[in-house]
Amino acid sequence: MNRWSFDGMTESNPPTQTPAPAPTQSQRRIRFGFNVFIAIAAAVAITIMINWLVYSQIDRVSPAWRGVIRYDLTSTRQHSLSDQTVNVLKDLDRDYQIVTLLRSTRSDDSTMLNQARDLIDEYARRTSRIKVEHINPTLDVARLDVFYGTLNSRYESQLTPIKASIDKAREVIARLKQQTASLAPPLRALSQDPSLTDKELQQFLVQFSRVSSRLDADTGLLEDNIQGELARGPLPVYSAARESYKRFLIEFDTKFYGQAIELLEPTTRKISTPATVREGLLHIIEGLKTARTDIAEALKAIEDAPAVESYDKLSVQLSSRDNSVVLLGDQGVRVISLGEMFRPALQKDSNSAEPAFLGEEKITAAIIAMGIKEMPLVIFVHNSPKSPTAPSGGYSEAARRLTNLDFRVEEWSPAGRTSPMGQSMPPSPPPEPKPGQKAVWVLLPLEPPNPQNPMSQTADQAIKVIVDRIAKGDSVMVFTTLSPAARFGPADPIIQFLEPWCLQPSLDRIILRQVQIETKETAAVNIIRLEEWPTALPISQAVRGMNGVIYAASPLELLPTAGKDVKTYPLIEVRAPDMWAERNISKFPNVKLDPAASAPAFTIGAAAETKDNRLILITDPTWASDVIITNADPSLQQQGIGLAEFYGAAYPANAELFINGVYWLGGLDHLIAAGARSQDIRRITGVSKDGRTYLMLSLILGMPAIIAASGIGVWMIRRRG
Amino acid sequence: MTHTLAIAKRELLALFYSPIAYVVMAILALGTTMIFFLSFDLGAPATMRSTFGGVVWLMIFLIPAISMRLLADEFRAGTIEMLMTSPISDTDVVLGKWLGAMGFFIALLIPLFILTAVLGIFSSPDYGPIFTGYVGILLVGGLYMAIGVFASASTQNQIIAFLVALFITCFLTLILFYLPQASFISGGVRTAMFYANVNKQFDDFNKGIIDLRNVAYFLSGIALFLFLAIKVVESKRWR
Repeated sequence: MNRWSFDGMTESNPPTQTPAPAPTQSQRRIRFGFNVFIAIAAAVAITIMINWLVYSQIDRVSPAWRGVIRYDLTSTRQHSLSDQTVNVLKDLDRDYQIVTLLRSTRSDDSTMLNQARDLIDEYARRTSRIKVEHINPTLDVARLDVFYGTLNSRYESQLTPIKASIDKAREVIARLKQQTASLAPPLRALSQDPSLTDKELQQFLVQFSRVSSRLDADTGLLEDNIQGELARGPLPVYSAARESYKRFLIEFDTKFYGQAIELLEPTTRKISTPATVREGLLHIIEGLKTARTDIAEALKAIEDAPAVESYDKLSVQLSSRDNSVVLLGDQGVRVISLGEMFRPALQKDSNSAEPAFLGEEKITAAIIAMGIKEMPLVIFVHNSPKSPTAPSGGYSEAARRLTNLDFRVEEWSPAGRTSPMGQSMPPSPPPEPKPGQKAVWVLLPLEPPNPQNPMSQTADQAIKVIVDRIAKGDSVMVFTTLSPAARFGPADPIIQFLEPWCLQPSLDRIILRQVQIETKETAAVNIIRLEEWPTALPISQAVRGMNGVIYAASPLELLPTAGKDVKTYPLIEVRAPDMWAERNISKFPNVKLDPAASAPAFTIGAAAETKDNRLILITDPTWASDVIITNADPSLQQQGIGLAEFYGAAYPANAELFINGVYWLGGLDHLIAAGARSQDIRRITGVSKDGRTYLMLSLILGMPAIIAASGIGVWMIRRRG
Repeated sequence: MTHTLAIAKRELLALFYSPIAYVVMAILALGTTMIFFLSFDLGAPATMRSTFGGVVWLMIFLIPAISMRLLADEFRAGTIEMLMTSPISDTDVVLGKWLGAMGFFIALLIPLFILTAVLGIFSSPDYGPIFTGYVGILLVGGLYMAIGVFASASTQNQIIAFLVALFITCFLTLILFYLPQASFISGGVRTAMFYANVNKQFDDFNKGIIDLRNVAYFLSGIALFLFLAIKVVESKRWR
């Protein structure tokens, strides 16, 4: 029942409130729009966050899990690191940094660059001990400068003495300029002194004053040259600057001041010299002597400052501005150029040489080598008067490669040396390895024993030393040479030395092959190509897919090792049709195939191993010589020598097997490259040129036609329906 | 999910009934075949890498052509009202459109399958990189299609939808390829730009590698653009 109040309103019907006005269209839009904006911003932020987490935080994932994140589905897993490398990376106990300095200058470079970059990223994925940085030298100039500054600072303390010697030389030259400038007026005055009657002396004084006044220009030129040398590469070449100062100071000292003093001093002692002239000359001589003392001080500082070879090597490597990869570790810095990571390798199924990618082998080997404190000492033993490791010595390239790999390379001749004046000198004692350092003796081909040739007796002396060193744990690589008189003459000490190793070379024979030159003509050739390799040891496994060559090889027999404390392994086998081992070497090339001496294969290289020592024997004296390993010409002509670095070696296996052999002999088996990752280049076969054309035309015309016909068909069906 | 699949099926049929689809298919077949035969020769490497690389470039232009009408046509014809008033969520609509278009895209790849078969007849290729290449193409196609759906949802005009999608795909490929090479771009930004480049992300797939980071890039990109498309469609209700 309603209760009425005096104004007629009931208490159960309170007055109605005015409803809130509905939001306008624009208010609704603003509210919803703001919500949508927030939602979109959040979505974008989440997307960016997810990608950032996935990209950058992967480093925190353990290396074992990183392999799960990335699957390489190629048949040879060519984009993944090999098991060998993965094991090496797992065992790393120190940090490394890999910096790529890669820029693309040609379109065909970019595939190689990407391959190198991808590989290096893979290293960083597999271990947290390796940090990678990619710098494009063209685009990232600031970062490049910072990197070079970092490299420079690594060698700061080692470079301090050499920098100090350069500063000293500069200081001395500045003083010389002052002193010499101060000598010019008295020299001129003296030359014009009327009491000076000696015409020669007068002339000299005039010339001397002219030279003194030119000194400013000469030293200015010197400074410009030195600034040029220091700025030549990314790292200042202090050693070149130092040498320039040294040359300048020596020349100035001897040809200028020294000669001046030599000429002036006797004049001061002559009675006929007027007193004023004498006084003037003495004053000048005193100035010159002071200057010479300064020069001697500067030269001493230069001589005393030790060269920093590792820095110089690095400077040279980086100054070439090639695309390269720099590895930095506690033990040092290594530079691997992009060119070193690729090498032409003949693919069996095709006629073109596909570059083999060796980046992983190079980088892994460099990482391992950087962890080794002392690389072995390699001693080239020879009996020729010329140094074999000198530029035209015959083994300079082999020595250079070993040096680049941080081996200490020396040589020794049991026959003595020839002095620079051409005199024979007695043999120096053989080099000694440092305590704890292994030594590998490379016995180059020695003259076979010949009673008429005293030099041939050195083989005995060499073998004695080597036997001694083997007893102390050293290893040896022996190269033999042909010895036609081996059957008749005195016992070859090298053959006797090899007997306990169960290796028997037939040095009186040469392996030849009969080839067809014209329809009915045949000829005997000594150059035989090698394409297949024994797989007993990693040394030769590593060169599979590469070509090698023999030039003057003798057959080698691996004797039974039953009951002996030695194991032998074939390393180099020659396989070719129509081969034989010829005895009448002197009649070569006018020899014919001897069926009795013929065989489908000959061994010409072998390795032998006892409990404590190792030995490698190669019966071709030219195996690792410059003639072979620097030759780009497959027929080994003279003009091909030295071109291997531009065109690739015609027979790269020779050098590789030599280096791997040294690694093995030095106990560095883990440095032997497993060989280029097997390049599984599958190729299109079975289609002729015409077949390709028909196929192309039928697909280019046929497929769009079928699609168009399908479209028309669908349209017609729809139209009917 | 049934609504999504129903819309996807309807869209797939609609695409096959559209003449544009056949034009696009014919162009893709022609282009792909020409690219394939550039590297198909006796003794040449038996690989689909360059073909896949070419297809990914062609997709920049072709996928916007497919996706331009997906939602723009509905807006223009007014049929979107029917969809919005039916018990189908905006998410179902967008996802359905995208899935339908993806189905058509897979059909577009038939010429590629034929070319792979041709390669298989005349060589014994390594099928690992071929498989990963297809995975990569599907992911790239998915991303471009999601971009196309977003562009199509943003406008009633198909041409504008095509141009917007084309601009975004060109940005993610061409611009993010050339811009990082400018010297004024700092190192961190350059790295981010290279990362965001679709072709760079596709590279690993083309080489024979499936890297979950690349997969995360594409899936997150697809999710983002589909989300944006859903939001745009939703906004039609209150605008």
